[in-house]
Amino acid sequence: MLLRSLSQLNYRNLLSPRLELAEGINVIVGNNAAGKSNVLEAAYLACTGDLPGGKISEVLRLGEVEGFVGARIKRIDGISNIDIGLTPGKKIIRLDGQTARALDIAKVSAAVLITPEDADLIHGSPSLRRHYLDSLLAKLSRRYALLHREYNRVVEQRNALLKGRAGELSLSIWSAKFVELGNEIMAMRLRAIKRIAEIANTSYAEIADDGKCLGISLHSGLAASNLQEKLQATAHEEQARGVTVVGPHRDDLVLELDGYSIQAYGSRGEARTASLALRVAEYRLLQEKHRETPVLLLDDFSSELDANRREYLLDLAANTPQAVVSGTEPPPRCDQRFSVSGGLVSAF
Amino acid sequence: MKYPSALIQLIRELGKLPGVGPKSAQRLAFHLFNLPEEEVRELAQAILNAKNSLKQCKLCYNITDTELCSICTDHQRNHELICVVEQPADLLAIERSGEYDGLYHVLHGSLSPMNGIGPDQLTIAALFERLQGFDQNTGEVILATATTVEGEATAMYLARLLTDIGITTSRIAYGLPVGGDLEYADEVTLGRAITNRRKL
Repeated sequence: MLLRSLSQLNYRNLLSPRLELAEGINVIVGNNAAGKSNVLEAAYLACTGDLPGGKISEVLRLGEVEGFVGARIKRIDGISNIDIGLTPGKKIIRLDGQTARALDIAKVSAAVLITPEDADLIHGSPSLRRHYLDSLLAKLSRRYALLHREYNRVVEQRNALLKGRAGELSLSIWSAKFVELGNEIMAMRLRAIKRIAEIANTSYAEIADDGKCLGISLHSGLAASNLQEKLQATAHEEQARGVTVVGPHRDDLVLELDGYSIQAYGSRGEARTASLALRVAEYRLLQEKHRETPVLLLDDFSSELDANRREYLLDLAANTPQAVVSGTEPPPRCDQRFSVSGGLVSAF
Repeated sequence: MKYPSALIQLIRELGKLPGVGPKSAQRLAFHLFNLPEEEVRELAQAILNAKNSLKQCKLCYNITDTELCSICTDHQRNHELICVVEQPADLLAIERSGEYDGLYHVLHGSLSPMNGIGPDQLTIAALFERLQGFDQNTGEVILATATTVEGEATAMYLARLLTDIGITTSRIAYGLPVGGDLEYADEVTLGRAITNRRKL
């Protein structure tokens, strides 16, 4: 699919209200702090309804209380207009003029954002890896998105019960619901991880060429085999702390190279390559689902100093119908060039 | 200019109603001001009348203007069947279907620890009081709470207690809306409809 145009109002430091993008490689060149990453972040938000890591109040221009991003997406079977109104703590999404939810956007549009910060996926907290998994799964399966929301609600209710003086029966009811939904979520996660691991391992081998094998698995804390047993094993701890301490909301993705944890033993370079492999898996799975390639957003490729990874990234961009690439210098191939300075984006 | 205090008070009181924001409250207040006095009097009277004469049925906790509601006192209905619902509005919805001729029990909410609603905040104790003297062989309790997370938990909670005292308990079926196309059903509904399929 193609991002035909990107519009914005009061988004960080951006000043240009509208950007018309071409097929092939769109390049955004500018100095540091000119607003290159902001264009890509706005594009990702407009294409997916997802704001990577940030709060809405942080992406509004200083002193403003409302903002906007919009995308015009062209698919094989038609065109969709996505409008997202931004106010602190709230997104108001409209799809072709109708009020919609973020999971409705996933039906008509997809984008993958690859940034230098992706290395945090490996070295950062487990919540980042869970978010990677949950947000990808929610885009691939509406059923997962709905189940996950229900599951979170049950965890909240159960935690409220644990904090108060809970009756034995009340707790067992919420636990039963927790186990039922938790098992469904785990099963869907395990199926997805199997596919992610296959794709990521192939990509890793292509990028690194070091003969190492990338393994990805789900780590669920306790050794017990099912959620019911885990819940029983942690009964004392959760009563003491007043929160549910096991379950899919606490699981973590473990990435290993030849059986050794990258989180613990991997080099910075290995972590970057592994995180890139995860993004490639995201790209391929979305492509499988839509039977069309997602929009590829490549932030600050020039900060990538490793020749293999740099070449792989540019190859990926060159072999996709549309990519938006930012950097301090233009890459070798470029179909449409923009320059950014002080938030002003102009076609070259 | 500041509004006169009587107007401010009216706007404030109207704004406390569910679903009425400050702007709607203001519009309603001006509308009331422009009405003939007779109509305003009738509205005020209707509100007071409703408040004074309406109460909860002693048996099923439905809204009624008599000691026992018209459903509980109807001898034509099947008194061995009790349908448990969350709100009076749910009762009315089932009545509209015309398919059900048993009695009801209104819980006035569902279990939600986050909002401080446990079994004691609902009319659960009254339900079990009612069920003493219920014939275990022929009687049945139908759980018709919502299919939200909270409604499900409430149904499971009641089912546990009811099974303990040996009363036949059932849960309303969920699945596809009648006359609906499969392709428009959401994925969770469709998944549950398949899990809960029945043999023909």
